[in-house]
Amino acid sequence: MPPARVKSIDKLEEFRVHLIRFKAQTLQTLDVVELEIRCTLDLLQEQMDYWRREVLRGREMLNRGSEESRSTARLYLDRADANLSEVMKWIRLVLKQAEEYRRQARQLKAWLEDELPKADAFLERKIDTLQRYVSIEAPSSGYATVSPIVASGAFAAPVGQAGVNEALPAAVEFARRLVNDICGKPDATRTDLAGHLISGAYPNFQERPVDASKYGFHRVFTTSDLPIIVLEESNLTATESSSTWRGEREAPGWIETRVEKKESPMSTQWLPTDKRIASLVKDVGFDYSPAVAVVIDRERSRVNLYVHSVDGDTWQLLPQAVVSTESPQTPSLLASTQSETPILQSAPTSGLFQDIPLDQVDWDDVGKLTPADYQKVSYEEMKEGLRKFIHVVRPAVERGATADYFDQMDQAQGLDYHNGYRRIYDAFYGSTCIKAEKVGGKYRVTGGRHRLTLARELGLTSLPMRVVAKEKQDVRAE
Amino acid sequence: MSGLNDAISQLETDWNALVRHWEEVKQVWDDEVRREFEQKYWEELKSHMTKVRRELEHLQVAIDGAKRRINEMR
Repeated sequence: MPPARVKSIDKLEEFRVHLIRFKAQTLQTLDVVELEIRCTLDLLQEQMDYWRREVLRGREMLNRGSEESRSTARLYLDRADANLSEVMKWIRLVLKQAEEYRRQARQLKAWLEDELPKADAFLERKIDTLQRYVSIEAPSSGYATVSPIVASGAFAAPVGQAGVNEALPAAVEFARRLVNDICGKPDATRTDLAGHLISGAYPNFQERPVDASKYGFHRVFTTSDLPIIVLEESNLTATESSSTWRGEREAPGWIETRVEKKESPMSTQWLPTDKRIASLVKDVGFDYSPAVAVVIDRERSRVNLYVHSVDGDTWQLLPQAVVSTESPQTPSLLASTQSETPILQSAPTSGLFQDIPLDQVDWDDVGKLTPADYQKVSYEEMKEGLRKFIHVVRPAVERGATADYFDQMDQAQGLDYHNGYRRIYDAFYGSTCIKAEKVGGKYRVTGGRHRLTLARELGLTSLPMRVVAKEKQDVRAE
Repeated sequence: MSGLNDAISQLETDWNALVRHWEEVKQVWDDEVRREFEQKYWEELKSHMTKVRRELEHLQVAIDGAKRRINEMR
């Protein structure tokens, strides 16, 4: 595969936005032109009718008048005749040019309607591929564009220099499938990973023996198909978090772990995950050099991706890596992962933030809205905002972008808050997001009816909403 | 300025802006996929736009001429 050379994914994303905007603007302009053609032809038609009438009047004058007045009538008739002929000539010319123009305009319109979405999808795929597979340089700023990304084609390309190897896409795809599989089980937290990897969909995986107490991974799998290593966190390291399956800080499980750590303070298992991966890969030795490590923390239903950097032999976490969020704090997120969006990223705002299918919304409660009902934000403005949401904000958020990212984007593009992307982010993921309550099997929207209605009009099938849990409603109701 | 002139001017502005953005994209995207996109989509859009703009110019001449003559006739 020839190398991919993209220095800025943001530029591609921006271009997508401009392309979509161009379509809308051009279609509008073509409509204006069509209107102008019709107005001109109407005007010419009026003129033709007028001069026809004048020709008739001139003929009458010619027939009825005296010798002297007939001379004047002749002049008048000649002028009316000439004008009528000229108007008809202009009508023919305008019609001919209009037809030529319309022929081209129809083709352009057809292209904008049929081909531009394909061009957009092409770019989307390209951006998606790049963003999922590139190394991210500035995780602290949320999600950032890397400087020159050059797919090298070799395993374990230097990630620090933004190299992405060819195996990474396949590995990421694999990780996604794995997450889907794990999250798709009714009893996800008890899913047997080995069963998944060794049989069924992943027949080429083999389990490798590993010293869990040394590396903090109690199961390790490799395959000859991909330069990938799948690691399952052991319970001991999981307890390093202050809130884990083994209990909150100071709980018996947590204390037990602290004791174990004190007894063997130098053990690798206490190191951060990236260091433990490096240590394990170095010690075990593989037939190939793993480029991607899929780290599964089953107890927390989390999967993270680490990519190998040859420089310094380190492993870097992809900040927007695949994350399956099933935690005691967000029980309903697991359900979401089974629906339309297979992998839901960690919510950018607190609370139960879910991607809600619009067919699960209580539309009777939303009611009917017409463009005239859009008063706080105009219909067109909201439409434009939704386009930004669809093409820029949502894809970026799904890859881990936060409010900071959109602030930076606005700054870079010289957009103020009112016209910027941060406003769109806030409208869907921030303080002004759509809010809903689950009542029975439906979601009753308590804020955001206009966005919701317009989204459905634009063909969206789901939207992010902050959902108030039923339990909370009950408590509140009481 | 007539509605048609405004529309043509708007189309020119929008198109030039898109061309400028595409040129920026070309500066940062230089591989086979870009060339494929360029050939498959961009060149085609460019061709459509060239034809539409050319025909619009002709149309503009015709409409402006017609309106001018009508005014002179009155």
